[in-house]
Amino acid sequence: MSKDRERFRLLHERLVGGDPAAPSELFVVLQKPVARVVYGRYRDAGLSWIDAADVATDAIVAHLSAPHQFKPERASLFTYLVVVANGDALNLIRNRGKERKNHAHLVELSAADGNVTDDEKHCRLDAEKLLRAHIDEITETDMDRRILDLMLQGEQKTAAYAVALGVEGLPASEQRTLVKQHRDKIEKRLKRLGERL
Amino acid sequence: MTPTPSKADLLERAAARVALDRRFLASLMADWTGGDLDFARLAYELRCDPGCVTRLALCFRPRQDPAGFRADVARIAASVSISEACLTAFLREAEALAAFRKPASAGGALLAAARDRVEREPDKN
Repeated sequence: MSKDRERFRLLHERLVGGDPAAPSELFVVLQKPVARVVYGRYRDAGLSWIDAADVATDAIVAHLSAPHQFKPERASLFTYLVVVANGDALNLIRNRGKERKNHAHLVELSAADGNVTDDEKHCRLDAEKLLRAHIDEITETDMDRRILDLMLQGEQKTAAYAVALGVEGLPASEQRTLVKQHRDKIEKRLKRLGERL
Repeated sequence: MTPTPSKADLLERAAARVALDRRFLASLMADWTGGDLDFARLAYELRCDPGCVTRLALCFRPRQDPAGFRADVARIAASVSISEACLTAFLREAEALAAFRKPASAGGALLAAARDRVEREPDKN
């Protein structure tokens, strides 16, 4: 057995044995190498380094949830994680393709209304105008509208969304859960609108 | 050509990504800093470099029973090269803070128990 494979096998044993430091060492040893392989395979399909790192992270987290599914005698842990991450990368690329189609459809409709869309900035602004024309289909409450405004501004901070929801006094973990729920709800409505239009 | 991100940056991103997962120390550390992981602030508090903070965040939480907690903290401290005493103090503070921030019903029961204890104390006079 190669030195690396033996190293990964020992790390896997520590993980199964309940060593709380094993997950961290797994990330240190394997996250970037797995991401590198995935990036190399899918970069021409539009996958970024960050995307590759995220799918590598998710593959490791999935493994930590069910370590018994990995059989060391069949393959190295590295190969196993690459296979999982490749699958996630492919799903990500496919889903992005669908989102781009929906967005392009919104922009086409805006152009048909007479708006000039000769650069990306105009495309985004026209898409926003279209969204506001259908605001009642996307948002039901003032809270929904505040969340949509933040999303259109490209806001990433949980704290900003928490203030909009009025939950800034809750524990951070609950804030994150509630913010994600509301964002997911708005995103689903946007997708349905795009598909319908 | 897109520059390759550093390993440190990718690990930091992984730590932020798992901060919602209660199994990881990242979730407790994010709670302590009030939301998103603040690596610089945690490095100052734990008296270590930001790289240590990242590796710490990617560890699982220690067990809750006293013997398991001590054993797990020792393993984590050795793995990420951080003072065991410093880590123990931080984890106890972070867990206490998290418990204190729990919903009002749990906190109300805690306060009621405290009042009962005071009422039962013997008269010293």
